[in-house]
Amino acid sequence: MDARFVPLFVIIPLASAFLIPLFAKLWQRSADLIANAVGAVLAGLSVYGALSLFTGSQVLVYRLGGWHPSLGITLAYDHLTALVVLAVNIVGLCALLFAVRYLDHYTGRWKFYALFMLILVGLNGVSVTGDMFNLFVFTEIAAVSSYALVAFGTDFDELEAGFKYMVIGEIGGAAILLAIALLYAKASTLNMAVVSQVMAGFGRTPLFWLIVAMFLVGFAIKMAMVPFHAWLPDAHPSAPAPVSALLSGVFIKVLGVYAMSRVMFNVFGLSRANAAGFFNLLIGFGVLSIVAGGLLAYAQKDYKRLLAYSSISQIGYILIGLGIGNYWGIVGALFHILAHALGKGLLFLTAGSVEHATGTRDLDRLSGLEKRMPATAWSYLLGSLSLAGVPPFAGFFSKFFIIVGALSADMYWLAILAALFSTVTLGYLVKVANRAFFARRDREPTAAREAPAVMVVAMLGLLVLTIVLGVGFKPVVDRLVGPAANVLLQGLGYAQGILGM
Amino acid sequence: MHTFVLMLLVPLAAGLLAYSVNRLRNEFSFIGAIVALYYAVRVFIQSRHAEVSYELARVAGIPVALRADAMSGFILLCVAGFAVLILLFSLRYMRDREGARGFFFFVMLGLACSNGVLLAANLLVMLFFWGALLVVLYGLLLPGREGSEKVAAKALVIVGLSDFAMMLGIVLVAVRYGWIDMVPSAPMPLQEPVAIAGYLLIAAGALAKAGSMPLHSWIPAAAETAPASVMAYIPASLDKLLGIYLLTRLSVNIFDITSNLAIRNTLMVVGVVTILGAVMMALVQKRIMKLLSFHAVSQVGYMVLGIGTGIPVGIAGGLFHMLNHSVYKAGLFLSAGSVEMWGKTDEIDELGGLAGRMPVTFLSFLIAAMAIAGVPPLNGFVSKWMVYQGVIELAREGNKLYPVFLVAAMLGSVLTLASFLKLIHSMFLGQRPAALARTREAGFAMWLPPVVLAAVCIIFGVFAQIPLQGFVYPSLPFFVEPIGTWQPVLATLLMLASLGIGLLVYLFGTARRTTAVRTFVGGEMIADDEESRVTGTAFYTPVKHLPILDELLKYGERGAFDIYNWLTGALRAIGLISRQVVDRVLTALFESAGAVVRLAGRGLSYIQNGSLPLYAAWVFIGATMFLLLLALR
Repeated sequence: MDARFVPLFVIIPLASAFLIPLFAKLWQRSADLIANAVGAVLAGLSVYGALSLFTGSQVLVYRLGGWHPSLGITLAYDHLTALVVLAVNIVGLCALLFAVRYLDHYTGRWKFYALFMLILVGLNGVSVTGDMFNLFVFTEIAAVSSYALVAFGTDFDELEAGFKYMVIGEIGGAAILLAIALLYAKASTLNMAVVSQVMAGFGRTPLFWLIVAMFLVGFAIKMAMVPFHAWLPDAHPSAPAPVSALLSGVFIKVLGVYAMSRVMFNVFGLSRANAAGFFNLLIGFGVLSIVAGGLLAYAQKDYKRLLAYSSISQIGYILIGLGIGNYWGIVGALFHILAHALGKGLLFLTAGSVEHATGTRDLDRLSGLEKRMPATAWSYLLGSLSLAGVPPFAGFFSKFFIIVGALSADMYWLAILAALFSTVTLGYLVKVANRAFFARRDREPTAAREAPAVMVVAMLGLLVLTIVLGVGFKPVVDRLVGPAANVLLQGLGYAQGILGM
Repeated sequence: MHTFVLMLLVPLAAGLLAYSVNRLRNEFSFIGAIVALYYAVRVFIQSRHAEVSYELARVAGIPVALRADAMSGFILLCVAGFAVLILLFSLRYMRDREGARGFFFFVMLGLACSNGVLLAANLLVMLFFWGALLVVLYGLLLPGREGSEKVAAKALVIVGLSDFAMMLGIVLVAVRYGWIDMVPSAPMPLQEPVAIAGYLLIAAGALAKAGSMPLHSWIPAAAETAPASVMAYIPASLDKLLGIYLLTRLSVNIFDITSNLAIRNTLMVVGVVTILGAVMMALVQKRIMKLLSFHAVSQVGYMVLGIGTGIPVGIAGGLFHMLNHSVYKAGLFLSAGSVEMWGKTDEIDELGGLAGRMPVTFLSFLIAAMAIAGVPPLNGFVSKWMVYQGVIELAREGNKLYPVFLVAAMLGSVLTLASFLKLIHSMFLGQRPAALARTREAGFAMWLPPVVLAAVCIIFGVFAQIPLQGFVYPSLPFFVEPIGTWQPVLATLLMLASLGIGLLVYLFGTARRTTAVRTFVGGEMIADDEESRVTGTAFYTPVKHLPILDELLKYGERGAFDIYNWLTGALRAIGLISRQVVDRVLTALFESAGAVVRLAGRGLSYIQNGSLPLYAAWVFIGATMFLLLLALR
């Protein structure tokens, strides 16, 4: 299969990030058009990419400039990449569509789109790259643009949140850079495939574990694993809603979960059989995230802040799925990446819609919006049922597979915890539905109206995909998530595909 | 397309159509339900003697298949039948209510999901549809009086909790024994811990759906806010049918409940506690719907008790009671709905004397009430009688507890009768309050369903062999001995004869010649007016003053036995503790770390804005933990 489309995931948004300001000088609204067109092209491309893997090839490799792997940068597109890229660009497209009207509140429309495109560059770049330093660069591109977008509203709270996010985020970046430096000192190359071959002959020395720990710190900050989470509940609610949707939906998963699992499984060759301690650590911190995130979410009174804590809790599910380390556990975790991307993206969009209509996110001040905004209300409700793990929505299957994985590995307490906190999830998400949408108090918010059509279309798009992913889980598991889990499970076998052996 | 697929798609399509069009919405859903009923009848006939199965797909070795046998055929028929009757009633009842649009959609969605549950060939497929019913539950409970959204959330969390427990149980069993067929060739013994844990977890889901204690508390809460047709659809018929269906499948087909005495006793204790606890609460209620809803809980106890006996006749009794309960409880909710609609209230105090105004409703309510109280020869009596027989049979096995179960079950029956006497008196007899002077009989669409249901109560009682031979016995994989010495037809004739003699005595005897005098108390004539009206609410207030019981009832009224209150209370407590205590301790700890940072770098001192050093400190502590755990082992 031809791999020539792979660099387009980076090139298209990168080019448009610089074209948007140019064209916006000529015609303000061209920014909307270009950004949405790029979003649609990227989404189409990611679907095309996923389909092109269905024909049987395991990995598509693109060598930049035709250089040999140990010298040049390699881009690799396997099932795992396809899955993540699909999530990024679909949520990205819906967020862009939503932004068209949402940005009426803000000035500097083209700045928003340019930064948004840069985030897409970073996320797609991290997903397709096969090079360690390249990974770091793309991580930082995404991170730096997200710092700016969190502070996009330029109110006191937003600037403060953006600043805190930046400081903590850069600690993570520094940790990753340190780890890469140590790795380079040891392996003399940064191509993932070559590094992984070197690592195969590298003992489990303290230095090895130091590198692992430094990577883990960096990725843990990016994914907001408890106790590295503190920046997220400030940052995600402060960002404009489409950005929150992208940040909570895919950002933390690509920079955090995807990058970590790629490095740990495929580059360092860790697996439950040879590094049980590492996997137990993932489970331990995953449980901590589920519990702390879930309980804190229950205590929130701010619509978006509650959703932000919920993201921390749901990241915990992905972590325990990976930590269980068997086929079903990893399938569950990867499926949850998809399900949570769609579901949480949707919920943040509804938050944006409510904020757009009422000007507030305070659950104590909102009520009875269902009468005025039925599409938003029901999108929220069904999306939250998906996240909680209720069939026939996508979230059901991720929780289900994780529980299957846990019980296959005889981790009974983990399965019980996962099931129990599904109820907690249900509890705090329904709390928002009740307060904001279905409660009928006397104080009707004045002049609240249903969101404009494009915003509704963006929300319904995500909702429909959530249902499609739930009802049609079979082809997705068979063709995409299952092979992606096998990519992780094959460990060092990854290098063979890249190097063409 | 295969009939099974149509049974899922047709109600769904009808529901979507009814939701999206503005006019004729009721008619669309009604037609959809009729079509579903037609398919149900077809499946029922096809599957009576041989099971029909249909495989849709296969995921990682798990067959996604649908299948119908005698039991699912029987219950499919019931579900579709109730949906048709309730929709017919709702044509008028829901017409001008807010939320009618959602109501018709969710009723049809509920029908589709229930068909899925009943047609599922294995536990995974069953779980899929079972869970989807959560949406239906929430959606149906949302419209209604003030506060309905809280009730909907409560129901969602309680039933959600049990659904997740069930998911855990199903996966637990599946990982150990494979994806279990709903009807395996032979039931598994309940001996291994995995099997027992799986059974208990799945049964918890089934019991919560059916509304058994301690997972019942959303039902009475729903009664306060939800419209009558929702109550008749969800807690009265659909949930009972599905919950008891699953419990029977689980106890008879999948596992062999007879192999574990402890589990049987547990189930029976749950049953008896449910019967008595809920009926006590019912006695002291002041609102019709709430009173009926406590009976909807109480009656589940009989079904659980019957299945818990593990004796064939008891299990058959439990299953038959499920059918009977759905019939009379749906009838009761619907007739009460008519009364409520015309009376504009369901407060017992404000009703009375409606028998003359709404004779048809009165008669159907009376028959259904007699049936639920277990008055022979109605259907409720027959199934309770079978349950009792099952309990008595326990004696042969040497179960020392059986007298307790038997006495408690009979006592429950007596108390049920008592609370319905109160209800009938205060709704239909006694004096009519002035506000109800213009009340009249509801229209055809509203009285027909209760009348049909009341007729079914009589037929299933007098000719009990019809439903037993037609529905119940073929569903069970074992031979059920004929029910004792009870000859329903003969007994009915004898009863009718004695009633006839009584009537003759009344007509020709002295009893007819009564003298009516005006009420005379303490030297004062009391006018026959609003002020001196005797209502029924106070009938059983003495119950409230019994020692021990009064305390329990008081707590019960306040929601002390409500598992939802326990859960949310625990969450709130944890939230409070974590905010007040843990956060403060952590802040204190990290502030000292922050001080170190502040001293260390002058540059950093500019960016001290409260909690950032705290965040950073967390990161460093986490990093240290990673290093300790990974590198320095």
